[in-house]
Amino acid sequence: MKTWVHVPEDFATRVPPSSESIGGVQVTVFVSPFDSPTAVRGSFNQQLERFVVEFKYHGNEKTELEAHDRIALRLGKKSRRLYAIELDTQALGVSEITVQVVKAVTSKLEEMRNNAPDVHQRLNLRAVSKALELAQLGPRDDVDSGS
Amino acid sequence: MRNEWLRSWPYKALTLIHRAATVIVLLLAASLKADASTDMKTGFELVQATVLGWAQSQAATGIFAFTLLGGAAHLARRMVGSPGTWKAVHSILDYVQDQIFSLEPGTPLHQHRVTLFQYKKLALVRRRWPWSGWLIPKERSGHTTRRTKTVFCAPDSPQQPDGFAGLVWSTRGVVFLPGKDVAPVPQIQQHSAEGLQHEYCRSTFSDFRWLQRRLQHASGDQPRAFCGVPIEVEGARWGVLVVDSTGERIEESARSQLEFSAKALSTILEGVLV
Repeated sequence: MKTWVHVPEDFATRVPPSSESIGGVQVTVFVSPFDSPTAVRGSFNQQLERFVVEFKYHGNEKTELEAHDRIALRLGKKSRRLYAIELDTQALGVSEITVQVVKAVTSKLEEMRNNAPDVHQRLNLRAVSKALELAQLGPRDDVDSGS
Repeated sequence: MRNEWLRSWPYKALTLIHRAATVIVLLLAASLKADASTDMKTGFELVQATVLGWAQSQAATGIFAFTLLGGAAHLARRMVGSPGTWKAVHSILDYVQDQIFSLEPGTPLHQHRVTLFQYKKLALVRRRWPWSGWLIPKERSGHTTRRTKTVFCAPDSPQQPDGFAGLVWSTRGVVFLPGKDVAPVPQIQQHSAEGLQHEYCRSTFSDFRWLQRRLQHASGDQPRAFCGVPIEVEGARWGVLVVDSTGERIEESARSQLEFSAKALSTILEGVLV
């Protein structure tokens, strides 16, 4: 998956909404079109010696790297949305990229989702998980790949 | 919301100032390289030398002042936004209105509005501190009810939103009100009971005093259904797009139109400074 894999047009509708109680009123919040990735790709970066999963969004934004234990996250400077996950495969002791990397990424996303302070960050992480799921597990004619 | 005339004239004037300042800076810079010797033969050459001498003596101050003026005019022009940009924005809002509500024949379109609010850190509003952060109406669909002055507070905390626009701003997601399985917002008019008005305010996150002021001037039904999407430009929050209707609900199928429009507006508004 070295090339960008574009998510389907109706991708945002597949991301489950979040139900919030605001001021005693039940409100359903759907993912913003700006928090919903338009494409995803993942590959081993020889220079970084890390496995990098990247997400593309509408528009351009400056990002910054947030280093965690064995995993680094590239987040939007203003939006805090997830642009990339970098995995130190050696430190994680991962030899088989496909299965174990997916597991590591999935568990990191779940952990982030549980700790996300804002509804839009939670929805962004849901969208990101869904994009990964579609790119890796979905039927191939469901997605269209491009560079 | 300013009308088209008030938008286009400042833009044209600022463009003229910017261009004139650029030309003057170039002429002053060029004058420094010219020869202003006084051994002239004709009267015309004498005048030319005098003007050149004066330009050279003023060049340093002039270049500095006109560069500043040109820069300020350019910045102000970007803040105002070109009339073409705002025409395109208006077309998108009309498109959203048409796409979402065209399925209800016979209903006047002014009862279904699409409004673009821009976030401003500072605004002179009586209710709170000027630096509270505000959502100011910038453009609205259609040709009627465009002179709205309704401004909403835009705090970052989603627990106390001010109006539906404030709710969309603070949640940063696509929101429909009332939601799919939630009871409809009560229908209220000028003489509706106070209890009903309170219920309306609770359901729509509106301020009761604001609603009463609004009802004094409004004759028809108040909006009962809303949907909105945040607008981002280059990763930064720019404002919100709000659709409101006097109908009972807005179908969730409107989401695709909202998402498409939000992305289109984001691209168009890249040239307009916050």
